[in-house]
Amino acid sequence: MIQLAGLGRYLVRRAITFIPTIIGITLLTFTIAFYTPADPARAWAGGQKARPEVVEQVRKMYHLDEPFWTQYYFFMRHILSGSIYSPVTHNNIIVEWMQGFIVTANIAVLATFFTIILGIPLGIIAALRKDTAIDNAVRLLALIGYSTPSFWIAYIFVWIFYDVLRWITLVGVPIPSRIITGLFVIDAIILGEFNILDAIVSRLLLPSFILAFISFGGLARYVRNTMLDVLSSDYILYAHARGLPPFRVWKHALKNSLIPVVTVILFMFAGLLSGAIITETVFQLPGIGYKYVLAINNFDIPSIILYTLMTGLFIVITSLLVDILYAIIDPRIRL
Amino acid sequence: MSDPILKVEDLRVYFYTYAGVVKAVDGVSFEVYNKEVFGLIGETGCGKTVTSRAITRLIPDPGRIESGRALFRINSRWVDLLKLPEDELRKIRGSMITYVFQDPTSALDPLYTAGYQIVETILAHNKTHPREAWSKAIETLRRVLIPEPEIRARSYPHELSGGMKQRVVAGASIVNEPRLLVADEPTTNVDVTIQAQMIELLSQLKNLKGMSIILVTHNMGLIAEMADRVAVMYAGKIVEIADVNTIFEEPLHPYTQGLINCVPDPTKELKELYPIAGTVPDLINPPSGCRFWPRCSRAMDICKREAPPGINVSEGHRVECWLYAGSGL
Amino acid sequence: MGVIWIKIAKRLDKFTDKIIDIYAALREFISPGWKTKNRSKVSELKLMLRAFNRSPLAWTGLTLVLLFIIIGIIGPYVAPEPYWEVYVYPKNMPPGWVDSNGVVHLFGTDYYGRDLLSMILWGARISLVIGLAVIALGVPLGIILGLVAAYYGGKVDEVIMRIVDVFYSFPALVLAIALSATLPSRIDILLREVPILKDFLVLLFGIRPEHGGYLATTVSIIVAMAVVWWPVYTRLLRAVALSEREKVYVEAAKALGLSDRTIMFKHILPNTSSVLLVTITIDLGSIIILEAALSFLGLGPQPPLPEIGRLISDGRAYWPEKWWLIIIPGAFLFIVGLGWNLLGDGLRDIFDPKTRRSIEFGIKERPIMVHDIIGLLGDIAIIAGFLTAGIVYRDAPGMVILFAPLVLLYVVWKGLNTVRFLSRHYVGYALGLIAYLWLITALAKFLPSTYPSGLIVLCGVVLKMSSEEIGKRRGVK
Repeated sequence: MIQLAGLGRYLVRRAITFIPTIIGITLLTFTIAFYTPADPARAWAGGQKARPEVVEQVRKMYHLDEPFWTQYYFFMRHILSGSIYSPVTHNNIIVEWMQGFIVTANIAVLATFFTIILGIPLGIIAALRKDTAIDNAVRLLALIGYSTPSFWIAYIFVWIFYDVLRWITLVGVPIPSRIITGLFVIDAIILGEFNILDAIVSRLLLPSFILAFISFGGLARYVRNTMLDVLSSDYILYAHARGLPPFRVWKHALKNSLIPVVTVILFMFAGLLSGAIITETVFQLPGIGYKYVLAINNFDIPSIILYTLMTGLFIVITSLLVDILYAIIDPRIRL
Repeated sequence: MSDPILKVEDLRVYFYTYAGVVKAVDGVSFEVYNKEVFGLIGETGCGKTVTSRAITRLIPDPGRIESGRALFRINSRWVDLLKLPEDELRKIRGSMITYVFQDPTSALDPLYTAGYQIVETILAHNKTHPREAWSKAIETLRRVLIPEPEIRARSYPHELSGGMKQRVVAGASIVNEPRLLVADEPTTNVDVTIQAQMIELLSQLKNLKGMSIILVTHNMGLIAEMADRVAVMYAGKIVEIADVNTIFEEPLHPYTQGLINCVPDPTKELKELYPIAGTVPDLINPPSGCRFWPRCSRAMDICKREAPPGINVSEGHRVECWLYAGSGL
Repeated sequence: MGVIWIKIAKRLDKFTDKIIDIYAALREFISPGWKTKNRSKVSELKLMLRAFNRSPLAWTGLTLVLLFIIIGIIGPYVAPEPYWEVYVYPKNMPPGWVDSNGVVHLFGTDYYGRDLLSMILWGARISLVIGLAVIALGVPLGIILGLVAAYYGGKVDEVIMRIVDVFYSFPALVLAIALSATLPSRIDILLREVPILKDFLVLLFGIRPEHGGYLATTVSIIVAMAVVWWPVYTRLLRAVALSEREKVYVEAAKALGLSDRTIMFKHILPNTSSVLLVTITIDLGSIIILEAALSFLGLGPQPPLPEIGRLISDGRAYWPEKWWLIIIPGAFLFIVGLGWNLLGDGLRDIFDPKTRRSIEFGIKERPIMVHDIIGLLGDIAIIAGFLTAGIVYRDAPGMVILFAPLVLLYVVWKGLNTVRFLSRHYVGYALGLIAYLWLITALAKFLPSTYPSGLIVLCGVVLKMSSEEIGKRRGVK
């Protein structure tokens, strides 16, 4: 009980240190948009031919004629109250963001799943067979992942799986009749809608696999290095010296490698949740990455700010999650 | 006294690095008798730790045991530990032959409690109920002089002091009542008061349990205090073996003489210490002939050309040095 | 492979030793006595390069990087065709296309009817300059802030690290896109007001002076990426400097009364150089790819400036009929990125004493035996089986779901086999066979034509098992 109370206090303390970061994120995104020199009001009102009174009205609506801090204040107030509309599409941008997010989240979960099932076993194998052909192959895979432009490999995969094999589809986003968990694949299985499941898989599998293809080698390499660090540690040698059976030694090795590996996976997942911009653009998937590029092209400043803001928030929240995880697994942190 | 429980013969351990093959242990032979403390002394990097770990094949990559035998007596039967299948060797490690590692801080897994790690050691070798194992662990902690063992058993390593951790490691190594305990620099990383307690503890354990101890150290004082017999290692070879009195009273090898001259004698007035000139040789390209000749004040021509043979000067006193070849035999 | 490379590596050893000797002789010439003072440093350097020579991958990386740098430097001078003459040829012609003058266009022509090979040669210069410019802008800023944070600690550290946290909260691409979309008009004003900067950049990029107007978008992605990148170096430098600060030599320097600035730049910074070198090398690869990604999205250098990402983006509408429009520039990018990554990885290995120690000096190899070949045939058969199955069912997308676990099981099986995690190999084979039987029974219910591919897989399994058996009988693991 005492330990739990300590954990709570520790987390509150950690959460407080995140507040300046969150404020910093909002300021940074707002500053980027604020110092955009072109006149956004004119662009939103219809470009060069816009009537002056309409431009003036738009300017008033978004408080564009007021100083930095007032604009910042109004903007944040609208975001927090959820009543902010895009000057380009005239939709509530928070609703639009949510619609994009559910697509992105599906891809992110699938991609993370593929990355884990490919990356972790490969990493463990590479660590155990250090300096052999397998280890070198894993290293090469990781480096290939780092250096593959996703907009290039995506087209190659599209050619193989769409043009040649016809396994995948490239239009629309099939959605099961009801959203239960939010993950389309699982919802479709629960609802027994197998034709929709088939459509979902054909549409989402390839983008997620491309994302996994780029990162699984890196994860494998990270797992390998972590495992090697742990395996060469004194306590593993001492565990051998105590004559512990192999699975016991493995328990020590795995638990000690767990924290850094889970951290990396969580941050990777947070990165994916902020939108796989390139992949979504190539596959025309209406996730937040795709919508972000649209907003950039349309000069839709409120959307740009909201999207960057949410991305930053995700990563901050992930850091907090990682801290909680550390505090639970590692007794050294619970002080 | 003179019934051996461990016979190491011509042990060679090489490390294959990019810079070349490091011959860390190069033809080492010795015996450890029942209920004795066998001291293994030498400078840092002379191969004493590797020797002590090679006995149960605890050699990490890129090290390899090249050749040799380590015969261990189990119920009047000799088994070669270096040829035993991994599975059977595992059953010997931690039950019959146990270790106390040099650095107590890193020897314990930080994510498990002290008690858990001792219980684990018990359960690895005995079929006991975990609850019984737990009370046995607490009993052991009490025996290695840990105050409030019930509370300490539930502590994580980071919550224990250095001396406390060292004693937990000692506890884990005696809990299965081993026949041979390998103590690797048990006093190096702890402060002076704990050193004294550790020495006290080791001598008590030895008398209580009737086990043999291999004491690996560079500390001459500790050897004088505890050891019955001593092997002096230099650059991967044992240069002299004798009982502790002989080593201190009439050391024969120039290196042993140098080592003893390095230690101030508290009973005499301190005049001057005689450090050994030079440094430990490079083990990738060791000096030809006797490995000590570049630092030896009495080196002869033959020392540079040929490795000296092992010469039995008297009963239980062996020295590898050309100075004594042909004499005393 | 290993044995052949060792022979090459020994040659390379002589070569690299000579380079170090020449370097030492030069230092000796400048300041007599240098050699004797730095003897251990010289031999350490030699050993480092020897470790580098053991790695064929690192050498591949070095070669690719050198090639890229050479192409980047001389590209604009050797490019057969200018980038600014558009629509000279019909657009999107295939590789090897011969124009009316009988000139062969190795990579065909691009969207604007220009020779694609020439465009890549021009584009290499742009990529190289952008990559180096981002490093040149971002790294010094990052280094200084990192050193300051680590050295002074306290409030200074707190403020700098909070700012770094803010930047770290965005994926590089997200922030870079926002910045490169909003910066150009400001940069345009800057370039107009400082013509000398514009002329300098025109020279650097090797473009026509009249295209200086296109530089605004190019410079904005440089600035955008530098803004995204500096925090990486602040964090890195702070971490390394913090551990260096605790070391004895810094204490000694402090005791000698050296100023803070001297300690930071003369004593701590040189000790972080190896980590910096590795990070910069790897980051150059990432920056070049990120830059192409931004161009792909329509930011960065605008046509007619030839930019690799842009070339790919232009080819999108014609995919896959005119595949070369995407494949060729993409492959170039991939190879460049891989080169930097391989080199950086090799450098990391030789700078890290832990990995360096484990690079084995000699590789012992046994000759290839009959059972190796049988085993290889087995592997090929199994993979061929999977492929056949894949082709047979290419019209049934749902099969992907069924196939994924099977291929996965096979991978796991191979993996377990290789690490000998299971005490008996037969357990591994049993796993493979169960997977196979499961597939056959599951599929046979619906689709009788599963058998051909299944039979091929079975053949493979049998071959693998027999190869293991022969190997065992011969006493070879």
